[in-house]
Amino acid sequence: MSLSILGLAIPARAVLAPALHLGHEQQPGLVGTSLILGYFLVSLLLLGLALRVRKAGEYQIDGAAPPAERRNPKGL
Amino acid sequence: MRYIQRIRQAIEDPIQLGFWTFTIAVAVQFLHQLEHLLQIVQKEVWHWDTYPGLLGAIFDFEWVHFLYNSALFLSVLAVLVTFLKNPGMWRRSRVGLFALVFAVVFQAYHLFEHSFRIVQYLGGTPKPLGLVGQIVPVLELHFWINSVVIGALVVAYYRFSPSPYGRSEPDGAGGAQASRPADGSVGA
Repeated sequence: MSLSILGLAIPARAVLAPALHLGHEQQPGLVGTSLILGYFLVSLLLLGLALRVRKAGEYQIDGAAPPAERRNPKGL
Repeated sequence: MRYIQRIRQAIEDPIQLGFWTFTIAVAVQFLHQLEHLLQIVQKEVWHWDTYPGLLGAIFDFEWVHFLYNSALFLSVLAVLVTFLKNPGMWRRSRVGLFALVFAVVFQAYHLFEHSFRIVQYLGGTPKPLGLVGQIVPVLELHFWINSVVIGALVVAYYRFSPSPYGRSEPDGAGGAQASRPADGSVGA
């Protein structure tokens, strides 16, 4: 995973460096750039998963019965 | 193979997904805040000429700051979205919800500051100050901004107690305790 990110970061930096004015200061290290880029991509993935994952109605609050039991309390 | 299955379970279970997203965000922001604290010590206590923190040579670059703050914003937003889509998955806490929403809004402002800095940087300013940084010393400003963010996150984390482990213990604070589905099924 980190190797593939590193593999992407090397050409990406070469292409993007002039456009992003990276030469204004000391060149960002590949390690730092790769780590932060990895964290950014993971965060993006987690937000995507958060938008997708759902288990509505299956969690009980304050010991309340789940919807199915409330509708049919005697199990009939 | 077992690890892949565990990761799949964590991805499909809101409780585990929320727990890991929240825990990673708090842990990374805590380490980030330690760097800001060390910078303040380097300036105010040790009176250094530059304040690189511990890992400044690796991380102290404008694009890295921008990417990190974007990532933190996305993470905290993911935590809030997971919670709002699955009410009852954690202990019920108004303070926790307020702190989490506040963290999202405040981090959005923080990201705006870094976006402003990126615009200044692309305009040719090697060490941009951002918007409020033009009035307030930038080192102290970002130390306090990050302090507020980590403070809000810690309050939310503590109040929600998002751990998926040991959930059968009663909640002494009087909040709600989420129960796992009896059939162990997972939602889509």
